[in-house]
Formats: sequence, C-alpha cells, structure tokens
Amino acid sequence: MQAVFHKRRARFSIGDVVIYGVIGLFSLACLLPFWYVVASSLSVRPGFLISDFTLDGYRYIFSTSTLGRSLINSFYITIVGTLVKLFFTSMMAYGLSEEWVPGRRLILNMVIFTMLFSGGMIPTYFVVKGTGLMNSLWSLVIPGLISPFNLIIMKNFYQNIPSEIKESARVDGCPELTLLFRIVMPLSTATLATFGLFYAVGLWNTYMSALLYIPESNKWPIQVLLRQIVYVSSSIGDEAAVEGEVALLATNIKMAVILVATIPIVCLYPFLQKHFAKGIMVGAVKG
Amino acid sequence: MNQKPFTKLLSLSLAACLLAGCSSTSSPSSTSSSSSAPDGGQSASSSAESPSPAGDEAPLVVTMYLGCSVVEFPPDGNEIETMIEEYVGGVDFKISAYSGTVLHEMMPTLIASGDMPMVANVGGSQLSKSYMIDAMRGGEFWDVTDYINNIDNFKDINPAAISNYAIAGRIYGLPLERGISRDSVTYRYDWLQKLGLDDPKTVDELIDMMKLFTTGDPDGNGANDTYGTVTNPLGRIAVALGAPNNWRYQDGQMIKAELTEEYAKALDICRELYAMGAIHPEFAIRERADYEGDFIEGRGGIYLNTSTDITAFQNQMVQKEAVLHSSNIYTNAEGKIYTSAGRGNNGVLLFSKKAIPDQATLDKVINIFDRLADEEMCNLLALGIEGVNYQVVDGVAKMLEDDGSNGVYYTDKIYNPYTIPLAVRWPNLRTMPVELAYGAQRNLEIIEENAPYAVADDSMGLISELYNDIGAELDTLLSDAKTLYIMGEIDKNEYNNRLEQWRKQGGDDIAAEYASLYASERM
Amino acid sequence: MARTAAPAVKPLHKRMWKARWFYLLMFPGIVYFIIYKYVPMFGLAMAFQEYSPSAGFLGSPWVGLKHFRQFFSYGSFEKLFFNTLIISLQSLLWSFPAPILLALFLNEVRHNAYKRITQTVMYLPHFLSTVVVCSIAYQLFSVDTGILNVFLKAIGLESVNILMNEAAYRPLFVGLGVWQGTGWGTIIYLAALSNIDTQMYEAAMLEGAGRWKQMWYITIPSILPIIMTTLVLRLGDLLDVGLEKTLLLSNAANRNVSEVFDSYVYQRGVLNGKYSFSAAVGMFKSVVGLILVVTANWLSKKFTDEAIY
Repeated sequence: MQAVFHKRRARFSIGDVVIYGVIGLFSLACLLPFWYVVASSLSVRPGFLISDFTLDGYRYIFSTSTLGRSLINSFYITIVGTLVKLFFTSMMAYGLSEEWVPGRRLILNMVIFTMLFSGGMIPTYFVVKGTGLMNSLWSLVIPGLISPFNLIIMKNFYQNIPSEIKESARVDGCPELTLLFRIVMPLSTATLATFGLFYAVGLWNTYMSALLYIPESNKWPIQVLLRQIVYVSSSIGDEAAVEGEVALLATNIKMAVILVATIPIVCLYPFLQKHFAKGIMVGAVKG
Repeated sequence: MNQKPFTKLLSLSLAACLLAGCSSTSSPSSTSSSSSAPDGGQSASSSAESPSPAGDEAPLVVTMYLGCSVVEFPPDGNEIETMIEEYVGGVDFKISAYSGTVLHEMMPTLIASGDMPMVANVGGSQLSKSYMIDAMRGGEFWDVTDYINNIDNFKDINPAAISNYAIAGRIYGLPLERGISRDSVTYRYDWLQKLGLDDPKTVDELIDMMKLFTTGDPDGNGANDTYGTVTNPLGRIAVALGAPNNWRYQDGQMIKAELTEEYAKALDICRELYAMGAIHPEFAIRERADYEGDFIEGRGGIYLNTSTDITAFQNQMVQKEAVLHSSNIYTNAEGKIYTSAGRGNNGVLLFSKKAIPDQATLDKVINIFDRLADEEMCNLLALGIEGVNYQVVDGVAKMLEDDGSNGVYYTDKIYNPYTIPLAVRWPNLRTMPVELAYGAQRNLEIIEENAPYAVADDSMGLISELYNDIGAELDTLLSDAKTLYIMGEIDKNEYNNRLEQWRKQGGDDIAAEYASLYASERM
Repeated sequence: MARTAAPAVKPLHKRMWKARWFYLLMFPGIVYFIIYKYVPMFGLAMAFQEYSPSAGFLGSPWVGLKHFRQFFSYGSFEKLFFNTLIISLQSLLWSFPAPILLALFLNEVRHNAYKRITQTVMYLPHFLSTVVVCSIAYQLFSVDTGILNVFLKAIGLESVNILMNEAAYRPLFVGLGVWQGTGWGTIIYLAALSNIDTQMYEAAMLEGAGRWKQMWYITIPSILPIIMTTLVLRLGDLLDVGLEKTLLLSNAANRNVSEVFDSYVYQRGVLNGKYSFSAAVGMFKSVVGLILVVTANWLSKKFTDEAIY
C-alpha cells in the first residue's frame, strides 16, 4: 500500500491542538450524561456519583423473562431487517443512478413526494392489515422498507462513481447485473455500512409500529418494554390514565433498562468503522 | 468474489425468517383435568361455590386489552389468572397489557380498524374525548344499562359513578367503581410532634403546618432545607374554603371555580407559601417521581394526593422513624367542611360489538365481572392469597407482615394486573371481615369520612362541543396564569387580565353551554 | 463530478430496452412505494372531512376547507408561525454545520484510537430517547438540586433558572438538539470524506498546500454535493420542530416562545381526537415543505450545480 494519507508531522501544531481539543470537549459533553445514566443504574439514589452501590436494578430486569425475549426479538428484527432494507434500497438506488434512464425523473419525484406527504397512521394501518402483516415481525420492516432520504443519498453515491470504471466494463462485454454486484458493490462499502447503520438504529428503536401491529406481547421488541417502564413511573401524558398504586419504580431500574436497551446498538458502530476509514479510489481509475 | 458472500448472507437470513415464522407460540392450557378419586381420602380440588362450566363446551376465549401499571404482566396461565378463570368457569382469558397512556394512544386506531378486543378498559380522561363519544354514539360498544340495573352485584353502584359517561341516558360500559371522594392530605406526624403540634383540624391549622414545616426545621438538621408541601395545594385549599370543584351550577348559571372569591383567596395563600419557600420553585414542571422522591427522602413534609398514600409510602420512607397520618377533613373559617368528589370510577370497561357477536356471548363476558364481585374473588383481589398475605383467625382475616416478598407479590401479581383494571365493584368493601394495617384502615375510613362533604364537579359528564374544540388551550391559559401568579411572576392585575381573556376567548360561551346542558339533562 | 456520458439520442423504446436491467432493479422498490406510501394517501382526505374513527372514511361528513380556515384564523397564528420559524431556523443554523465541522476535524485526527473512542462516545446522545434527554436536562438544570446549580452554589455564585425562563428556552431547545444530533450527523459526512481520492491530497501536498488550504480547496468541494443534498432534504421538514421535546420542555414561564404549530395541533387535534384538524395542519406543513424543497433544489442547482436530481 502506497497511500500516504495526509502530511505527517512529527509533533502537534496549534491547528492540531484546536482540533483534538474541540473533539475531546464535545466527546466529554456527550459522555457525561451517559455517565449519569450508568451511575444512577448502579446506585440506590440517582446521581453522578455512585452513592450506594447496588445491583438490584439489573437483578430485577434480568429476572423478568420479558427482557430476554424482547432483546432476542430486537436482535432478530434488526439484523434481518437491516439486510433486507439495505438490499432493496441499494438496488433501487443503483437503478436510479444513471441519468439517461427514461422515467428516472418521474420516479424520483414520486419518491420525494412521499417524504413530505403521508396518509397517516390510520390508513397505513389498513394497508398493513390488508397485506397480511398483522402480528408478524415483518410489519416492522416492510412498511418502512426504503427510506427516501437514504435512497436519494445512496443514489448520489452511485452517481459519483467514475463512469470510466463502468464504461470500461461495459465495453468489455460485462452484463449490467454482474457489473453491479462484482464491481460497483465492493466500491461502495462505506455507503452500505453507513446506511446499514442508519437502518439498524431505526429498526432497533422501533416502538409505535410494534404496538400497533403486534398484539402478542412475546413478540415485542425491547423499546416497547422500555416505554412501558418510563411511562409507568412518570407523569408524562395522561395523568389520570389509570390510577394504580405504582410501587414507585426505582430510578435505578429505569436507568438500567435504558442502558440495556441502548448498548447493543451502540456497539454496532465500532465494527463498521473500518469501512469508513478507507480512501478506496486509489488507483482504481488510473490503473 | 463478493457476490457470493452477499447472496449467501441473504439466503441465510431468509431461511432464518422462515424457520422463525414456523415456530409457534405456546398455547396455554387452562383446562385442568379433574380426576376421579379412586383412593379414599383424596379430595378432588374444586372451586367451591362457583357455577360449574357446562360439561363438554370449550371455554370461551375472552380477549382483553388492559391498561395498567405493571412493567411485566403475569404470563398467560399464571396461578392468579387460573384461579379467577376456574372460579368464573368456562372462560379462558387472553390478555394483552399496556400502560394506560399507551393504550389510550392506540384506542382511536383500534376503533377505526375494527380490531378492538372483546374487553378493554379506558381511563376516565378518555370518556369526554370526541372520538370516544362518537364511538359510543355510533354503536361501537354494547349497551349495558340493563345489566347494571338487574344484576345483584351491580344494582347498588353509586349513580354518580355512572352518570358522568352516560349517553342520552344509556350506559355503554361497566364502571370501575371507586370511592367518590378519595383525596387526602398525607403528612409527617413525627415532624408535627417534634414541633409540638397535633393533627390539624382546620384549614388554618393545615396552612400553618405547611409554613412551620418550612421554617421550623422539622428534620432537626439545623438547615432550612425542607419544603412545607411537595405538591401544589391550590386546588385542595380552594375547595376546602368553599370554591366550586371546577364548575358549579347555581341560579341557572355555571360558575367556574377560578372566578370566585374563595379561589382568589386560595391563590393568595399559595403565593405566600411559594414566596416563603414552602412550595418547590419548580412545582409546575416536576414529575411524579420527583415529588414522590422528595417526600420519601424527607425533603418535604406534606403530600396531597389520595387516601392510599400511607400504605404506598410507609415502607419506602428513608427515615425509618417517619410516621404518616392522613386526612381530608378540615373545617374552614365558616365552620364548613368541603372535599372534592371525583369521577367515582377509575375508568370504564368497554365491550366491543364487533368482537362480541351476540347477546349470549355478552352474557358470559359480563358474568366474569359479576363473579369478580363475589366475596371470594374480592378476598383475592383486595387481600391477596390466604397463607401468603393473610391468615384467617376466627373468621377474621389478619393481614400478615410484609416480609419483603409477599407485598410485592400482591402488588405485581394481583393488584396492578387484575384488581385495578377488572374490578367493577371496589373489592376492599366486599371482603370477609378483616383486620387491616393502619394505612389500609385509614384508606377505608378516609373515603367514608369524605363522602358526606363531597362537592361534585357539575360539569362532569356533560359533553360540550365547544370545550372539545378549544378546551385544551383555555385550560392552559388558566393554569399558566395561576402558575405565574403563585410564582410571583405576574401581579393580581395581570392575573385578572388573563381571567378576562379566558372569558372572552371562550370561557363564557362554555359556561353558557354547560348551563343549558345541565338544565336539560340533570333537572 | 463524473457523470455517465449520455448516449446519442435514440428512440424512447430503444432506450427503455437498454435500461431494462435498471427497471428490474427499481421494480420492487416502486411496488413498495405504491403499496405502502401511495395507497394510504387516501387518508389525506381526512383534512377535508370531519373524521370520526367509528364512522370511517366513507361515513365521515365532508367539510371542505373548514379546518384550514379555523387554523389560519386562530388569534395566535402569527405567534405560532413566528415561534416555529425562529426555533427551526436557529436549529438549522447550529445543528446543520456542526456535524460537518466535526467531521472535517475528525478526518484530521491521526491517532486511530483517539478517533474511534471519541466517535463512539459522540454517538451516544443520539440513542437516548427524547424523554430521557429532557429528564437529564432537568437533572442538570433544576433550580435547587440540579447539578449545575449545586456547582454554582458551591463556588459561591447564584443559581440560575434555566427551565422556567423565557430567555433560556430557545438556547436550551436548540442546544439539546445540537448535543443530541451532532455526533450522529457526522457519520454521513465521514462516509463521504472516505470516498475522496487521496491522490488529490498528495498532489496538493507536493505543491506546498498546507492543511487548511487542502481542506478549503479539496475536501470541502468534494463533499459539497452531499452537503447540498442533505440541506435541501432537511428544508422539507422546516416546520417540524419536535413535538415531544416541545411538550416536555414547555411550561407556564416560557409559553410565549415555546408554543409552536405542533404543540398547538397536539392540544387541539390529537388530545381531543380531532384527527381532521391535525390532518389539515399536517397538510399545510407538507405543502410548505414541498415548496421549500423544490425552491431550494432549484437554487442549489443554479448556484452550486448540485441537486437531488
């Protein structure tokens, strides 16, 4: 590998200090509240410092069978759903990436229109029901199959692949689909990783769809459980919802659930990171 | 090349989907096979006085969506649910549980799509919403007026608990009846004693208590760090002084509480309390968890809420020497006592016409709730399990001490999941004779004490189209004005200006509408 | 930017035949959009009806423009509009550039470990739900027990009232948005940055260009397309301020500046189950969004030669 990335300096310049500093400060600001959540989940009283250490919060959570099951549901939906969504989105994005294709404008307009106008919750419910997705985990994937935003940006990425690559392959007699899978796809790993991450997070955070379309509670993903807990012990929303003697759900349990519901998806990024860090066009065109 | 791993992954995941889809969820078996006892001395367990199910009929599957405050609803076929099903006979519950707020969010979609379950409970707040009224008027739910009038267990339901959601005299759901006036003021009796006082009996004494809790250093730590009251006492004081409970019908007119002199007096008292630090500076935005935390940790001395608070809090108080008393009876300067009447119900059970196809099925479903009002079931719902939560001695149930697990067992497995959303009659009044702990005893007493002085909200149950349209913003206008006045951010003039604004923007029109509705429907 | 060379103009059906693979690729997606996005659009009719869930779409009466008229004639309409616009523009002003800047900075970091750690940390806020974020804000800024005020009091200063303070509302609202979204927002720009041909940098270095010059002449123009595209698409949501956050942060003291379209509609429409009304306001926002997107796209094409198409 001959890539010399940027200029290498032996020591820190002022510019470096500024850059590293800003990044560092911002990261700290992002970390602190999370630290608050972590600390609160491990102590009896919420706070930044662990006043009285306790694992009760976690014990409570892991003793409920609901948590385990909903975590599994979430993992399943996220992994499978992301792959499916990525597949269809990238297919359509590539299909739209060449400007000479007739009808492209029309289709793009159609897509953008859906970004702004929507029929709403109730009509969508009817359609989901009518297409037989009720009570299936697929109801969390298919109604949101292709995000217009992701589609358009992905299309732009494909558009920006130097045409020489594609032309030279075509001239060599390579069929379109092979071109797509064997040449273009490998070049777009950063894109795929990015949007895979976006879709994955969206799927992991699914909540409302699950409530509406899946009546069976043992198919619920983790966010539904989390919402139940947060709503049960706070006065947001309907105050006089249904009065009950809420054995006040300890804050540490709330915090522990937040962590358990968030950490798995946060861990996804580091694995994808290597795909972002490459300058991959080196030599591909000139060679 | 790269095509292979990609397609391989895809086909693997598709396969995984198919496999997962094929696995069926376990169906609970609720029928217990009764074996004949060949050996002498073996008793076949049977549910004692319940009507036995018709021999070979499959049990009726009853689908329910319940809004309740449990994190994890007990799984299908658990022992409590089985106990109930066996007692009632011939039924199999299929329950999906949600937090109340969430269920309310789903309601309109469920109604619109026709996917309502057979039974669903909704909180009182939904009963005046347009979509609910439309649904009731449109025949979405069964008319149960006759059941209420004819069934023994339901005949003596307090009419006030039903009238507030009647549509043209007919009732479209069973109420979850509770005491009509459940408010109470819970306070630190140990702090009172430390300050050399006794239980307050008049409104003035109550207010003094609030002040002294703030300035008198009742927790004895040398710092002025306690709040008199952790919640806003405005509404309670206003009613105790004689203001209407929201709206009062008088001489052919509907009078809004905020426009009365008594209310203004209560506001001034609160402004004073705020200024001296008796009320938390951010009382308007605090969440329940915050002020409950304040009370539990001893940062505040008074909690104005309901009669069940002693029981709810006693075990959680951080300072173990805390003694809690509770009462809602305070005599005002004119020698009168007033308490506010609530809905009388904790929501309503709705029976969907689409899900329950005919009268016969409805009979069986209603029978469930009829049976739940029998003494044996009420014992379960109110007291718990014999041997675990209570012991029967000479025909009187004595509650057993909470050893850390049986209390939680009751709350998590019986009270929150079943008692709250399913009990039409309040079970605590229909159990066997019982000796209760102090807190539970006070709970019953307070409800009884309050009843004769209960002041009703005359607008309850009246459906004002105008209020449905713009009510929310008018309410915000008023509550903002009150909050800012208490905080000292605006003066009396500005407050009165806002009252005027409220009147002009629709308050007067709503008052007129209510007045005529009241005259035609209640007189 | 490289574009596919357009072939010599051929008759339409020949072009369509040539593009057949592309149509094949697009086909499932198109079917998806039709079924799950266009079919439900019959629900837009709700804005012109007096919709009631039990009567359904066929049974609810038609009222034409009634809801729109009601909406526009609301006394505080201008105030709502003003509040919505200000908060939205302020949010755009701060939260749009921040991720770009941060991405550019991150790109300059040479120590991989530092880069990875800070990046992962910066994503964390995005995963917290609005409820949790506002809850944390409360814990930080509460007047008596808030961390900030405890700290201030400890060093002898007066405590500040942030939560029930009109002047502090917009900064708080926008600030929380920046805090929550910036880290996550860098992802897409980092992906774009990783696609830049490193040979350009080498060439620039050989010509003696320093780091900042490189950024200005190479990096930023390279990611300009993605910036413009994102901006244009973002404008479609201009009137969307964030309902949950508004509901959680607004209170009596800041009502004057915190009341926006969404909260008003929530009160009037959603809470009371007046679906038609909220549908009408939703349509208004969508129409405005559409106009903005089309205009912005046209402007973008004109001035930077980049557009969604």
